[in-house]
Amino acid sequence: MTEHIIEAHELVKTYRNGENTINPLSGANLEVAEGEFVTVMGPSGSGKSTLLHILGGLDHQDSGTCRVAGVELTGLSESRLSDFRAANVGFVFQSFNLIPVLSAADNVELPLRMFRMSAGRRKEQVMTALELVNLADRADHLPSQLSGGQEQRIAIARALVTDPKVILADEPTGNIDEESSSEVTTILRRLATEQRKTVVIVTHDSEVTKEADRILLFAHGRLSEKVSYPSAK
Amino acid sequence: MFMRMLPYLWHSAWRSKRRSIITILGVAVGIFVFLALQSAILAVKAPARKAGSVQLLNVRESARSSVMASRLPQGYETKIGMVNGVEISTGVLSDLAVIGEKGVHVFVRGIDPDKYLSARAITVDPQQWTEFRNGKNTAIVGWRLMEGMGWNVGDNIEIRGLNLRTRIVGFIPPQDIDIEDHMLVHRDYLQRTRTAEEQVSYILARVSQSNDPLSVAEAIDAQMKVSPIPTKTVSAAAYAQAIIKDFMGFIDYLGVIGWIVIAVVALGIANAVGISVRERTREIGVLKAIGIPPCIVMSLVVSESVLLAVIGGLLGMAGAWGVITSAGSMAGLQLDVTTMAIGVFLALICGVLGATPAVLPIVRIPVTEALRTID
Repeated sequence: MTEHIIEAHELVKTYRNGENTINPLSGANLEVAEGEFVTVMGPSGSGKSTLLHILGGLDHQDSGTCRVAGVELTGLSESRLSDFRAANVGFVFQSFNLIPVLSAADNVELPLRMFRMSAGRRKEQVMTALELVNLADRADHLPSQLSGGQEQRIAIARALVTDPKVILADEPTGNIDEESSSEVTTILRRLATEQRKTVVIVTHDSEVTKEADRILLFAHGRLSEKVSYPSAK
Repeated sequence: MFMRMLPYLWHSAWRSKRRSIITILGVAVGIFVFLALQSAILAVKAPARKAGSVQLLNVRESARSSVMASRLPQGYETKIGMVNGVEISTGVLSDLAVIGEKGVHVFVRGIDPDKYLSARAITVDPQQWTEFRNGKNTAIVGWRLMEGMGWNVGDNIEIRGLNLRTRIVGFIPPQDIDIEDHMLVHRDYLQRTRTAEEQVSYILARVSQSNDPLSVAEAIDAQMKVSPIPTKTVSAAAYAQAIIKDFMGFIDYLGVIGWIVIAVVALGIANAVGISVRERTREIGVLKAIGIPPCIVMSLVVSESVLLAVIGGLLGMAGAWGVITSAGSMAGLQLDVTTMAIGVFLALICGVLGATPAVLPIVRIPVTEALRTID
């Protein structure tokens, strides 16, 4: 029996917007194995990001259960969710979200500052992460001194520096050019293949889906269709 | 964890250098003004604080509400000296003079040198005091007044308002007493120039250690009740308090202005921190998303505000100390360590209070909402 690192069952999430009720999730189910590279596709506003937020412990579902890296997220307090995110999940956002006043290395180091470790070991882990995204030579640069593609690679380094089991990426190639997009996709694919990271990517980019082990289609609040991509890996 | 986040705190505090510098300068000016006002209040209250031993009584005319207007016959000096428990009694004629182009207000006290020295136990150069005692139109001047007016021992000075021409033969060195900015002249000389022969403003009575000053004060007033001019006897400190009572409204006004300035400082910080936090709502969302607990994010914002406020407070304190010790000492202004520490502490409080309105939304805003914010 395959061990699933992500197990979400019958997730329901409802928002109220004035008099309208929006149901981004209405019974979504998802199971992802360790080391899997999964992309989630679907129309805008279909609830893909909401799903990602719930998997990452950034938001709560109204009903259903969500277990990630062995932790049942349902009903966890804000403080427990913070601990969970720090230890188990790395986020990559569409707009990079680097801290503008910190250098690339300091941005990558930020999540490590929540853990007790020596400054030397922190530095070592930061350099390893930067080398993994081929940006060790840009360690001292501020985000404003980097291209969009480089910023996103720094964001990936920040996401993996704590050695999380799961990496969740929301449109990671949405704001970068084609060449950078290919680099970012390659890095994320390598993380799954070589480091057994579980990578879940919400994307509209067909180049990213080509690398996926599985492509999930999101419609009407459910992951209603699973498609195996023949050329994956 | 907070300590490990200090590099972020430091970089973050300077992300908008102009705004941070303006905030710091605003706090510095506020604390400077607050301390300057406090120093003025301290200066006005100083006489009461420095009036001396509790064994020293001040006997004045009971019918006068203003201490400065009190007049007693000089002969009361002897009568009061005979009251049980009084060791020494000496009449003092006190007047207020305005001196120099800057209009410095100075108390001139006409005294009997020997008796006054015994009653007040002032430390002064014996040679200078002897010269003062022997010269009828000589003066001993408090060091602060000497410094402020640029006078020297040996100078001949004229105080036109009191028709006083006198030669300075000595000075009262620093010893934390109320006459450090006063001028002492011979009583009979001042009586002549003020046409107040045989009159004094008050009588200073030293009570022996074995007697209760309050009981002696009551005994003096009881004895003088039947005399033509009844007296009111209080401790020297209470007498000084009565003098500053005339200025209390002004002191209270200064105090209120000081607190208004502090409130304005807190509002200024609140505005600056509020703008800063609104501008980086998304960044705060990112910090929370990567696992930094909300309480740490909150304390980072508060600490950033406190950092700027304390830097401003220290600058304001340094400025106030510099100005008051150099230019303000002439006007009797003074700034003690406690008051300066209070100034910096208030800056710190302003930093905390100023950050509070900005911090509460940080706690409440969901991470997903913060991340959706457009920079």
